[in-house]
Amino acid sequence: MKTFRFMFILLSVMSIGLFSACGSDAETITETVEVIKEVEVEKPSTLQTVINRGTLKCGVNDNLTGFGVLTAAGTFEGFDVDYCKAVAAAILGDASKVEYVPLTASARFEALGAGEIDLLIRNTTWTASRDRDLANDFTATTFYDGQGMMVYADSGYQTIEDMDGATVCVLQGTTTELNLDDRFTSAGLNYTPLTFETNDPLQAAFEEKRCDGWTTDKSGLASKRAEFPDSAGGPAALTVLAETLSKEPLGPLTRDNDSEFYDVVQWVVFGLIQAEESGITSGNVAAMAANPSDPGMARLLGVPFSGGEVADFQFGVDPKFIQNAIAAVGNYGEIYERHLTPLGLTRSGSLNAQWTDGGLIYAPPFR
Amino acid sequence: MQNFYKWGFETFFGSVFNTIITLLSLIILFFFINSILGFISTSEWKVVEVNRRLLLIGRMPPEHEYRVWPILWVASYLIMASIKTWGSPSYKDLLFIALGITIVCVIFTTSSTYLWVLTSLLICIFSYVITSFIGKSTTANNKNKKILILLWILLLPIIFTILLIGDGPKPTLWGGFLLNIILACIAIGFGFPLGILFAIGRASTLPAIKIVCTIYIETIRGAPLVAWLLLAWFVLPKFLPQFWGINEVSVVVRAMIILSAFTSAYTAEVIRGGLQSIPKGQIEAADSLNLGYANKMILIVLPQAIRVVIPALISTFIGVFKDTSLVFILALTDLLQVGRIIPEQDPEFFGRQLEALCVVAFLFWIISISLSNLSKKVEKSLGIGIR
Repeated sequence: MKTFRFMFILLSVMSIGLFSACGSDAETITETVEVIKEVEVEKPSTLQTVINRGTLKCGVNDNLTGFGVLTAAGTFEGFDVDYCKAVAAAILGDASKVEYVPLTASARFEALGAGEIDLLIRNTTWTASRDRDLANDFTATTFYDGQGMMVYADSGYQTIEDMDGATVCVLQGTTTELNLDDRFTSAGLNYTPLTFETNDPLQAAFEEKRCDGWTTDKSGLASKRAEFPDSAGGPAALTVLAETLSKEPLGPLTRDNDSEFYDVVQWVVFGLIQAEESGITSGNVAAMAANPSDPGMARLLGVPFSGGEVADFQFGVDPKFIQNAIAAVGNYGEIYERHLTPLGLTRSGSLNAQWTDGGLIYAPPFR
Repeated sequence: MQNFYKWGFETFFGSVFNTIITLLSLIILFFFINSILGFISTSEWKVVEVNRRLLLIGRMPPEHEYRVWPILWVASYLIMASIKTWGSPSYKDLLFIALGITIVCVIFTTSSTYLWVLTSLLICIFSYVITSFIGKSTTANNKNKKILILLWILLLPIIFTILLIGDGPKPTLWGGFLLNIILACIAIGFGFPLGILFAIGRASTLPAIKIVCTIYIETIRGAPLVAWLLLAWFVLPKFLPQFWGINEVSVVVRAMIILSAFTSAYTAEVIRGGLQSIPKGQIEAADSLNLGYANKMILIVLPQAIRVVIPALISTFIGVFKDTSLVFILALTDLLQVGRIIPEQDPEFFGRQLEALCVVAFLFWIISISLSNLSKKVEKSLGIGIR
């Protein structure tokens, strides 16, 4: 119905445009503009939908170790999944109020656009075309990844330039596949891509040496290398080339023109980063909220500082939303420790260190 | 013994051609056995062991797990009673059934569920014994047949009541093998009667009905199932009216609608083939008995038409059962999808997909082979190919 009404209004605007071209009719145009505004206001924001429904529909990955997997108990777990929980805790006050929707790489944007999910957190790379062409907005970056190339140590490949004529295993439908093509074509190198839907058959092909290189995000390569079976030579048999083929900033997405919800998601991400910088963890958040050490911390947690006013940023949710999110999943560092450190992804010295430690993890001020 | 060697030599190395074929077969057999032995010696089944629950019922929350057992009990009772009543199983058949059940139980029973499984096994035996007892009296047997048919018709409502009653889990959380079976039952249960209607409609002499049925069948068959499922996910809600929450209906229900429609189109064509095989004399005979259109179809034409196409029909049903695994596109976690994703759970399981998929394949095979045996039994009891 919404779509029909929108089409109807679009048609009437167009016809009025025609009319006004013949003879200006300013009054009607103003009226129509008012009608359009009314429709826009009437369209409920995702934030309101989520609050009314009482659950957050979160699109996640179900087969990427560390970022999102379906556990044996039938629940979802991972770095991205924790952000779903954080947003649910911030908006609804309960991290368990999430409906997880496991999505394939190719269906994720359609699912968001069609309203089947509210929020997409599925290790999705922020690119210009995805931001512009698709009906979604990227909120913030939660993990800075980069595409790498893994080869057998005894292959003699030192750089990408050595790999002329190589066969490369890659997941299909990803930016990885496109970056691979960019890199090899621009260097004038020949290569044969061997594409797969999921990681496991790809690994099998790599173990059988059906391909010379395996390219995906460096986070993925590190964990695959660490657990490479001894029967195929173990981790020592493999090297990840130093070169980073591309920038892969990953983060949550919301639908286009959905500012209220967009803002909440974005500031939950920033809030968890700020929490780490301020030394607030899931363990001490209650104590910190009861007795904040400085006004900035009080603003972040939505509590009064020494008897003053509570700083409400008017996000349309509880002023304590960041506090709830921290209590549910912990700060950025805790989430990272829980899911990515066990995979052998060291944080210090990487792009994902706090800005105070030379990384890119940085939150704008809560003021 | 001498004869045996002679026979063996002549069969395998009698001529140059035979020798080549024998050697080639031996080489192929060697590689085949070698790869199987290699797989067995290197396989690790922990990935299956920890995920048995996920494979069977998917994302169903643990606090709702108890709902699955009554379903299993009702189904075990019905299946065993029906096998005894209509199947007249031989000892070989019974051995096969017992073996199948044993293997499934050995793979999937855990220390926390063995009591439930034991109850189901006892119900199977009880059902078989009591039905054979009833079978001794013809009147009681006939009454029992009616009860069983009624129960089969009520089976789907019973399953849904058990799954949904008292704040049950959302249908999107149904998963694993349970989801495949529910979807297949719905698709066949609704698709088959609908298919009969469309087949009769397409064979009708009234142009309006004929055209509508033809367009329906050809449209549904004209696009792949994946396309229809994607349509149901992204496009269907936009077309449905926005009252009673119809346009927000669960993806599981949308999958059921699409699968039923798909099954109906295919079965319609199979049954139409059967309708065409009915000699005109049969219809004329029915007319001369002054039977109405409905009676003519129900009493004379359909029983003969369906009898002819039973092998093709069962083959369609087996196809539909396996097609249910495509619902992973709709973000549902069916058996095959579970098998595909569980190796990613833990770095420990990397590269163990083959083990997971072996179990998945085995479960699909069990159901498919049972359906195909059912087809054989029905054919035999109807005397197809004999009469």
